Amino acid sequence: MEQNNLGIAGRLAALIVAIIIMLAFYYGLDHLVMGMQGLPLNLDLTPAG
Amino acid sequence: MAELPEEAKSSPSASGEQGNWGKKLFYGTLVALLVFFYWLLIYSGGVTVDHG
Amino acid sequence: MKQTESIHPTGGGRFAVMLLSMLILLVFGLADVARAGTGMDSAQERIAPIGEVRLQGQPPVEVHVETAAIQEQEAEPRAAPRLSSADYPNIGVSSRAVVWVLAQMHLFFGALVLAVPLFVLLIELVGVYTRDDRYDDMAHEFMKISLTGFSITAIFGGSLALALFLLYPDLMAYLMHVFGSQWLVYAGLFFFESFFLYVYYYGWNALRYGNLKWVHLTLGLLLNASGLTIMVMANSWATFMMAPSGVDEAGVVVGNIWEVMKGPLWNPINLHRFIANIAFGGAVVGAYAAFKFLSAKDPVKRAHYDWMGYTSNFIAILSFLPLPFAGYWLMAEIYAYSQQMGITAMGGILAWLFIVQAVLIGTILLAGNFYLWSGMSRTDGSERYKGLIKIIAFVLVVCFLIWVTPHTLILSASEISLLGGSHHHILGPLGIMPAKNIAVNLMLIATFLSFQIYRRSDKVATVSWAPMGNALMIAVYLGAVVNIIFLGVYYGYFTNTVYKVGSSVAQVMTTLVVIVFGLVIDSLMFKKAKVLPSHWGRIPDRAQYALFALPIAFTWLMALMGYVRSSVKTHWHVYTVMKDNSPDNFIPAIGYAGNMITLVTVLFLLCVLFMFWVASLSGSKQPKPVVAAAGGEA
Repeated sequence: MEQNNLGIAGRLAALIVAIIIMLAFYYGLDHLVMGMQGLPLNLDLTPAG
Repeated sequence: MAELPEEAKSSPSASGEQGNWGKKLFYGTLVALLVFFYWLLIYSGGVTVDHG
Repeated sequence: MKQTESIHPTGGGRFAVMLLSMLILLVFGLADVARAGTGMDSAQERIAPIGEVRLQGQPPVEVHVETAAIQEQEAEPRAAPRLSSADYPNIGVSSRAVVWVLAQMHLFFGALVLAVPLFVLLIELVGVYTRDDRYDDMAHEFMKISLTGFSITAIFGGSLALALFLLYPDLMAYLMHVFGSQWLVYAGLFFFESFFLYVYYYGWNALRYGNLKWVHLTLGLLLNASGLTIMVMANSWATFMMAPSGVDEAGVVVGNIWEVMKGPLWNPINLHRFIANIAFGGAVVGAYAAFKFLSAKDPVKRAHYDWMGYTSNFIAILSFLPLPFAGYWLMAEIYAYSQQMGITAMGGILAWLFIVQAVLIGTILLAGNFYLWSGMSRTDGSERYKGLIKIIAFVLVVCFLIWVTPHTLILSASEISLLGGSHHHILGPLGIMPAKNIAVNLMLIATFLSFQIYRRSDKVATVSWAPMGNALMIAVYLGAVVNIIFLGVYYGYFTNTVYKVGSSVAQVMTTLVVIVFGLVIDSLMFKKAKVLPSHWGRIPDRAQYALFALPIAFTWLMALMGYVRSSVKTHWHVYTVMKDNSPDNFIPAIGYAGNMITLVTVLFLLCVLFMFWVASLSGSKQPKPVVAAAGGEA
């Protein structure tokens, strides 16, 4: 079956990459949603200004 | 055994002879109702809400 | 025969003559009324008594006629009346209690009869597109069991109106004046709703296939539209009383009907009630399905009612997911309109009710999830996912406990000194909104996960990218949990109020991302999936009791929130415009309210049982008694 051809290491790598991608996605989401409400954030997600 | 009449054989919604005016009626009504509710709830006579 | 027919009019002809005579009478009657209104007779002639009636020994009655003044008198701007307690009729029992019971019963049934046609229409549509008769039959059955509900709604609505006019005549006179002819529009809508309801229901089998089926669906659409319009009209009265618009401080109408209707709370309540109705309706019909499942002996029937129960739970829980956000919007608008009102609701006297609300929502989510987990025994493929159930249950329970934790406790002086303050120094911070927002969002994500694994449990993905898809899905959940906790903790406890409130929106968006990604990834990943056998009817009986718990919790919750909504305007009929000076012009204590809420919940459940019983009664037939044979034994 196709699902088994990645192996454990492969699946772990895929998971780590996916987590990094999603954390970046949520980081962007936070900036976007807070910015839309007139609540800008610094790069480290602290309130700006 | 006599054959089934044509209408019973063909699937109801794909029957080209009868047309699909029913489906158009439904979706047309849906669009009209969406416009109505937009007018009632969103446009509301041009009134804007003062959010305080 | 023909001769007879020419002399005696036919049935149709008789009807025509009757109608014509009624029309003629109506025209003359209207002309009479019209003439009277034109002032063609003088006022003096119209109001002067024909005969003089007076008490014996009393002087003659003086009739003062101010002809010009009456007709030219300008209508004074009509402010809201200022009432004293003597202005309120007293019937010996609490007027507020009478109106409360009638109003809440009307709202319960109104919600039910708005919700059921909505998901019936959707199920019917699914039936058309899948060409599976089971969907159509289920939709038909849902309509059948709720049909009596429409009359019950009207009975309570009529009684409510009568009670309001009897017990609060001045308030009603004022509201009638403010809303004007909108009341008649509301009344007129019932004609439309009844028409569409009867044709939709009784025409179900006559409009079954092809174009006629689409006509039937159109009728269902129009039924829903009339019901929805009725609801938003009525919502405007409630929101006007809470946050009046289109009137000045004295209550004089200064705007048009749109300004009166479209206050800041109108659309938030419209959205909140629309979604809540669907969740509530799903829960009520789920109880029906559960009862029929438990009482069915035949495996085919058990499978049918199991499926019906699943569908009801699906509708109830899925529509429940966005509900907290609609409620949050409503509360945000309340705060924006009046900080005082907002604080009364969640920071002051009514704050404890939101802890009670937490208990009820926790019940709802636990029951709904439990039903889904029990349902996983329908499929053999669910074994893969059963390990996740413990984690979901753990998250639900911990979050529920956080949500239920209060902030300010009612303490005696010695208790305060023991505690070191009015709040517990560790648990206290869990009592404020940021912690609740984290808890709610995590509970909703956990519930969605229960849905997702249930829906996956009868499928095996065959696409080549399935491992990557699963990795992404896990990352979506893990990242969301991290983000929600971060947003709640950091902005909730370490920044200012504005950022704290704003972060809750980001939390909501995160939850929505999980739901959207989950639905999209699954629909792509399980294309052409291998389907494992699923056995409808193979579910433990105890799961049905979860379906009983749902409508009870929903009903009690709805009544509780009604208590909040009504009390939040404190001693005002119309907030800051028309004061309530009735003997009951105080927020009832929570204990009293709890009893009232329980009373209406029990009453509602009894009426619902009646509604279901009538539906099954119409299907039963008494067998004709067998006549004993002649010459048989006496």
